[in-house]
Amino acid sequence: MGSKFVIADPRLCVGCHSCMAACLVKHFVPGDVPMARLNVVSIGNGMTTPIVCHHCEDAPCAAACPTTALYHDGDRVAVDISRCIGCRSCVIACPFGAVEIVSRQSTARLRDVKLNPVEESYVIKCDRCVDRENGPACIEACTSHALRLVSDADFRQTVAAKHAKTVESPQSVL
Amino acid sequence: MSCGVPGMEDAGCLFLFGYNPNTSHPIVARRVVRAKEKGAKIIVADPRFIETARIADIYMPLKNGSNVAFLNSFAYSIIDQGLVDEEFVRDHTTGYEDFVKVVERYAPERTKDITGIDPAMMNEAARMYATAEPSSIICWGMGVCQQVQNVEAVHTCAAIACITHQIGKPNSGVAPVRGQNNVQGACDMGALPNFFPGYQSVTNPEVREKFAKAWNIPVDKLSDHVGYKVSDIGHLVEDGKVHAFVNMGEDPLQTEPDAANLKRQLEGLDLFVCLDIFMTQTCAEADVILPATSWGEHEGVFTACDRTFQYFSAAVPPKGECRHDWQIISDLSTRMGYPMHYENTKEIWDKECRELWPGAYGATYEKMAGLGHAQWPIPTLDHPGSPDLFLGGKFSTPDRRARLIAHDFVYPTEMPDEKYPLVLCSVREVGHYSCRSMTGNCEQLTDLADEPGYAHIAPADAKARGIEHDDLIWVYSRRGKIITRAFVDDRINEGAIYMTYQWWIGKTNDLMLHHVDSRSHTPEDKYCACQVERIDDQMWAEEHCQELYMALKERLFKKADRQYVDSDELGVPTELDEADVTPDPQPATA
Amino acid sequence: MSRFIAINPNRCVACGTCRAECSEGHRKAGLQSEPRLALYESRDVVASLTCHHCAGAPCVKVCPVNAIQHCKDGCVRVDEHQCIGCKLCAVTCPFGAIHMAGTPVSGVAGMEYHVPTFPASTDPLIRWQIGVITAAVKCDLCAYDHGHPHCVDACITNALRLVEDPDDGDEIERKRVVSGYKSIAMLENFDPREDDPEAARFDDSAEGGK
Repeated sequence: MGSKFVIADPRLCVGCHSCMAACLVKHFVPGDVPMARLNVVSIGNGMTTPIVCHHCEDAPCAAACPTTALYHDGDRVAVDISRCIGCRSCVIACPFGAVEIVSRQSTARLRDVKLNPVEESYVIKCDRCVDRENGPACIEACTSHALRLVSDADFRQTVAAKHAKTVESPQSVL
Repeated sequence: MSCGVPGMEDAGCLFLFGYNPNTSHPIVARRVVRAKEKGAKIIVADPRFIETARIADIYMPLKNGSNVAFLNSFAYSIIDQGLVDEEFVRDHTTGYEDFVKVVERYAPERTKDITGIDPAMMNEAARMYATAEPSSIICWGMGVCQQVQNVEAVHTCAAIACITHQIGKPNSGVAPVRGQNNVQGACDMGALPNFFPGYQSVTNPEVREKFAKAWNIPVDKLSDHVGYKVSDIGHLVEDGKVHAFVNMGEDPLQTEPDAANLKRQLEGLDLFVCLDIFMTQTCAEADVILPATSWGEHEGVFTACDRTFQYFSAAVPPKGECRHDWQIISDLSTRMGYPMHYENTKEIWDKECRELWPGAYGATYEKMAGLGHAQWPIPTLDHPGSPDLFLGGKFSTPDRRARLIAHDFVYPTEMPDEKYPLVLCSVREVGHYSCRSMTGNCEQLTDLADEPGYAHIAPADAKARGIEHDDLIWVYSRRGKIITRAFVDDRINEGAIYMTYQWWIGKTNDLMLHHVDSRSHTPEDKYCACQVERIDDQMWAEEHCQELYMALKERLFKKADRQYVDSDELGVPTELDEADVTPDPQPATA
Repeated sequence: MSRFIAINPNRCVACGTCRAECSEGHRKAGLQSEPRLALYESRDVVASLTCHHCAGAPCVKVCPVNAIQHCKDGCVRVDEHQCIGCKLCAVTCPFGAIHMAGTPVSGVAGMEYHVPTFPASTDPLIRWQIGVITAAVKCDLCAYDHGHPHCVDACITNALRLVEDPDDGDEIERKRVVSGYKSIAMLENFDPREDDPEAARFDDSAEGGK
């Protein structure tokens, strides 16, 4: 089966960063890292667009991950943040720049005993808000209809439409 | 080589025929990588899936020992697909009709069982090679030369380059990449039985006159026929034709096939002199050792495989009694009746090379100073040097035309059979060099790779014998039996194993067959038959291996130690074992 | 911030110069001469591999004597003198980047040559040698030379590179800008809204639009 992911239309994006804010808020829960999983960039000619994970079918990030912190789960590439060791193979592997690693020192405790501080690392990547009732937070927040969720069905539809259009003009099939 | 090494990265197609640059010439491997990144097509024909095969556009799994059949089919495919440059053939070659008469019997469909190559792949590769722009280069090394059909394969490679007009233009042609530094220089300077410096033939009377005059000797002192080839030395001694042997820097008891037999043969010498920088297994058998200087202790000129002369200078002065090769030769010559004296290497270079070899006249020390170089032919002082040969299709034959010669295929000499079912092929590795007289005495390098070395074996062959990676194994042939380590390698073809000829304990040449090709007398180091067996008691094997290695090192050390014995004390027993002291036939004169 | 050495396998020619340079540099600095890069060779890939200096490195977490630390310059380093050779780090490293190595006793105190306690074909994580103190050896980004990795300079095909600060570096930004730019072309002939202008957005839940 294919994958579903959020795509952004640079022609509609106004660079308001609402998508990033919504994403951060969605991830502002215990056990998660409050950071946006999509990043708005400026691409010239006054245009902007957020860069989001494509949940690739043959995702290089999941292939490169040595601990399955990133793994295929049906039609998406899922994240298990507890397995991340911060090796950054995924960061390098992703051609879109859609994955990041953050790390911080944490102090583990065993009852009242404070153990030595350790460096914990977390992989920051879109999880497609599968656990959110209304779907992706970024799509809901977007002020200019620039974001939408696409899937195989959409591509099939488009291909069928393209075929139909092609045969309508006889010159193209001669 | 008909082209230069730097130009290889600008060719349109590199065809590596049984050539593994990664182990033989990493600097050439670098050029192949760059060529690929510049968009060149890479074709690799090799029994093993060598490193370059990974980045190749076509990898052709050539069967061991099938070179001439393959090349004939390759030529057939070129002709059959209409890829011959007929104009070039007509204007710059001879012998095309006879060439075709042989090659037309080698359709790829007929040879696929011998070569292992599917006809469609043969056709695709031939097309890729023939049509590549701006040029193609065929590269080879010992994969071509150390076979029963050596010169025959070389002829066919050259013919393939000619009929496709992939020669005689920049960055094209034939690239036999030389195996050693300074084999190209040795050939250039006539350290060959058939040539004077500059490839001038010993059988040519005018040439002999010229050299006799330059050397101030009567012309009849110069031999008028081709001399002996060093690969025949064992037989020549055995047949009583050679009585004295001066061996300069070679370790034939390590590097020649059937080494144990060669040792026995050389015992028949009346006089065995070795010039070397380390005590090797060969030096240990010498009557006299003349200690020489290493590359870091002397200056001179090397020739790279692509005909580039490069001057190198000494980094440190010589130690002890060590003298430069040219000083030793001059001294020997003078004592033998022909006075020879030079002030320095520049004098030798100017007198013996530039003055006598017109093609090298423009290669002055000034031009080669620093990081300079001079690529022959470089006939005049203002000539820029020649990266490419045969430009415009002008070859070095008397009629300036290339001779197209084809040969029928012949199987290798010792084919595998029931008793010895595996092909043994000797190869190179990067971590050490040749006989390891230098690298085996270098702590840093032996730390990274040491005895007994490895035999690379296909997973299926290893599994069938219960062999795991790093296991110690016996390898044996009709000539002998040695211990080595298994490297289970999925890049190796089934039915063959590959060993480096550099290990003293894991000594491949105790197993190889001494059979030379009929024309150049190069040994057939790429093909003989062997069997492999896992050693049951691995711990015993580890200890045994170390014992053998230490015993050899001790023996060589003791031999070297003898060199420091004061000449007055010759004949007087030292604290060494009796067995190590060979009694002198005459007492030393004080 | 952290740094590590990455390789382009298409350029690797398995010459081993990186390993030789690594070994020699560390030997001269009085450290273990075991090369900290491993050369992996197979049909599919040939490459030199070494430590990733992971931001959340499991080797750091598992060391019982705190011999492995995150250093300020973005490197994870083993203190070879502190290490007790327990091998837990080598076991936990998912890349196999930690090599257990020690100085053989041969040449010392009358022992003439190195006789292994186990055959070489024994797995390195199980193998040990009598009298040899084993330490965890891994890439230290050439700490002995101001953290300037020698292998990168030594590589004859420029296959190795030092990756610095990928977390918020230029490389990620560049990738994003390029993919953003390309997405315009992506969308040129893809517009599922064409057939249904009202369906401005799609739901993640089940069938069809809002």
